[in-house]
Amino acid sequence: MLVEMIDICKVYPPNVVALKHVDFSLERGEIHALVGENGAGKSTLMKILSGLIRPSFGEIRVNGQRVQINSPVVAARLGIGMVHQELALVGSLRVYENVVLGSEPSRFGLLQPQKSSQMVKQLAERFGLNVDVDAITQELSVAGRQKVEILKQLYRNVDILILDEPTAALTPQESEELFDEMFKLRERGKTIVFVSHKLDEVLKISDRITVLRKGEKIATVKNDGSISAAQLAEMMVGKRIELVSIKARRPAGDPVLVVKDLSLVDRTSGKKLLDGVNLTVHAGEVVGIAGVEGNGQNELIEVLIGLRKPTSGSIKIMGEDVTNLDPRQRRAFIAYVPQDRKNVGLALKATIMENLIMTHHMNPPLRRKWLLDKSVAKDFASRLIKDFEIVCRGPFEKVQNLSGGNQQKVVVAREISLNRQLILLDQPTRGLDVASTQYLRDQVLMLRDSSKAVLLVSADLDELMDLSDRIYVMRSGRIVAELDPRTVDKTVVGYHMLGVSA
Amino acid sequence: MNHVRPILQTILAIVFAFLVAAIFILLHRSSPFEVYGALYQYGLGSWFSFSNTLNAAFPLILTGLSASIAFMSGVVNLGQHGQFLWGALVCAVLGVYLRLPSWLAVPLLAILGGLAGAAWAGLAAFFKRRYRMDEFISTLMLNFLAEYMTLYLATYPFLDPKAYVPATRLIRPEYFMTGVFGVNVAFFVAFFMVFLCWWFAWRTWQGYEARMMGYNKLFATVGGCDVESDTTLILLFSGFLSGLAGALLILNGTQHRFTKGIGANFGWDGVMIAIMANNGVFQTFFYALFMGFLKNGAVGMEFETSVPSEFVMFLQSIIVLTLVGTRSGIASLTDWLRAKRELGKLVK
Repeated sequence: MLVEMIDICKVYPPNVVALKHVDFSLERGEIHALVGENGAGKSTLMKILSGLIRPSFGEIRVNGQRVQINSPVVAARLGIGMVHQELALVGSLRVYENVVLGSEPSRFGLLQPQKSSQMVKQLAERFGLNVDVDAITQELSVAGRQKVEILKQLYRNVDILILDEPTAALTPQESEELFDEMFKLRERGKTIVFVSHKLDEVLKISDRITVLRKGEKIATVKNDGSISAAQLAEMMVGKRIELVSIKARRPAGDPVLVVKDLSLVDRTSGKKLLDGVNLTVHAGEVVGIAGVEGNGQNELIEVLIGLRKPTSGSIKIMGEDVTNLDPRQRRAFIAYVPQDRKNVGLALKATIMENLIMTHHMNPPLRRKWLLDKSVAKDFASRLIKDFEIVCRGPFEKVQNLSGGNQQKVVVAREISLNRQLILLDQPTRGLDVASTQYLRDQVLMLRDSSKAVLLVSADLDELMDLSDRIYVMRSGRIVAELDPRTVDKTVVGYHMLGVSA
Repeated sequence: MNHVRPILQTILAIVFAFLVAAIFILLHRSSPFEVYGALYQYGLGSWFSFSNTLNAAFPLILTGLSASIAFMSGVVNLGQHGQFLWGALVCAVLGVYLRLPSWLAVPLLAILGGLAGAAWAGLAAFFKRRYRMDEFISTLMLNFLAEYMTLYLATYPFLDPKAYVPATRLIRPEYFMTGVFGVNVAFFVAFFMVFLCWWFAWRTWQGYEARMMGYNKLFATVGGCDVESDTTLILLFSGFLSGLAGALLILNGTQHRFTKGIGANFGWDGVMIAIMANNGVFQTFFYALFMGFLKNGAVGMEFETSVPSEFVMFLQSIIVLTLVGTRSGIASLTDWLRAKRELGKLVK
């Protein structure tokens, strides 16, 4: 065994038990998938292996030797490296500079850019990573930057490479390419831990699969065709899950959101973040926005909610021009579930009640002239907690004590109960476990069936395909295609996202 | 349980702070018993000392509230000092020239002083709205302007010709505020403001918006709060509290006139109290009383023991530092112990 983690326990102070007696092992030259819902302990386990946090109990052996991995530096010395979901690269540097950063080849105290570039290029060729080492890093796609991170680890002679949800932000085509590269790495003797919750991918590429659930190891299985996605899913969540099927589509109603020629130019760089966007969302339909991350989706949402003023173009909601209204005024029309619930959707240190009454607080019965009616607020919060099945100790508990899924339910409960005609959902299921995701999808379909207009931005193509009645594809701030998910295939959407012809 | 634990932590932290300070007293070759005995006797020991502690605390309560209300809303008003000075000056000058029956004049002077402070903070609000200038820097800089502008006004236009130092004339004696059993009316005003602040923060609609803004400004903005107006309101309110502190010090203190250095350290003490109190309204009241007790008792320490006044300042800082440090130390220690216990259950 290359690596053995034995009887690992982790308690985060004060009393969050993240791992319970978990055993995990790696064999040389395998792709080992680590699967589980959010909060199952996958990242905690991998952070322990890569030296970011220390276990509360248990031991780790590398090549049979008992080791203490107290820091990422120690991990690197043992040949262990991790590529995190949030890529940590210096955007303005060239690729090879990022790769050698921190251990640059030098002579007489001087950097040797030529040599660095060459070394990194050879490294990339040896491991079959297709990336231009002289490019400026920020000009690369997410997939490209990910390769830089992998190169960075390889440059440090890492034998064990941990990839944390590497395909989360990739198109299907990019994921395929990554898998090929992972196979090549395996051929050259590297060991890879593939952290994921996309079961089809896991089954496709891994040699062994370890399933975690609620901090416990459920099983480690050989991926030799004896196990199915349904069985894996059952191990992950502990019960059978039914996949959503779209209910019969009703004819769409009147247009609710009409966006015309919307453009946004970044003042400092002059870059067109949004470029002549036209879109319409009707009552009773779910419209999806697909696209590789960073192609204008965030900007579109920010302009729609009023955080940024568009350079040109107009936004009409239910016939009313809202282009020049501030967020406060727009909230009379829009319910909004933001992508970043911790920094935008919630005040984590405030109570559940305080979070639930936001936006509602502007109108009666909560607002009574100068005052906020506390008893109405409490009843209102208790009702939402019950209706939306938010698991908590009561309306006065702080939101930061809730699990991710329940935090998201707080946001969703608040926004849906606003009863607005237009609902903006920005990555509403990101980071949620299977049960919460399912719950949210049901909510979206219910909204549609109650004749609301839903605009859904998601990086999860399956989700978009499942839920949307129409899909707009965004690339470089433009809408490049309008597709019907019932007539086109997922890969076609992927081609449009990447800008290659099918 | 939710309320008991912080109180226990505070008590423990205060005890520990006094123990640490005792080490320094020993190093100074004095007896901690004697020093603390004097501190207690002059700070709390009798009704006379206790009422003096309350009288010493009232400006601190108000500047502390000023800082707490601002910080809890995420508005960094560091201009308590300047706002205080303007409140004091306006009250002192008008107190000389205004001729009204005292039952009307005294509250009016206090309110006008508060409004002067609010106006000074309002400048920062204006800069923020108009020029997007951070109130952190503008309120800080406005302190220097206030310092020298009020000093100029007290030195030249409104100088009392009989004074030896820059000072305005004594306000009309009928405007001197009295006390009840030795406790200044100003203390009761400050006490009332504690409740007003609590009511504002926890009962009103704009108080809610302000607190949410303090937790997470982007959340408040997206939620539809009018953050610009809320920020302005908070700056004005916070400035009013500081200005009121200045005005009450003129109406109530021992000097009844604006003199050079009257602002002392009230502004910065207020900021410190807000930090010790974690911006809580009632906590601010408590810590202001605590600081008042230290200040008032320190006088006794000087009288009764060989401890010099500089050392008293030093002790104060030791106590505050240890208190804040211990409080967070205890919190993480209990967290760690709970984690240990949880792990114990797990591995047996």
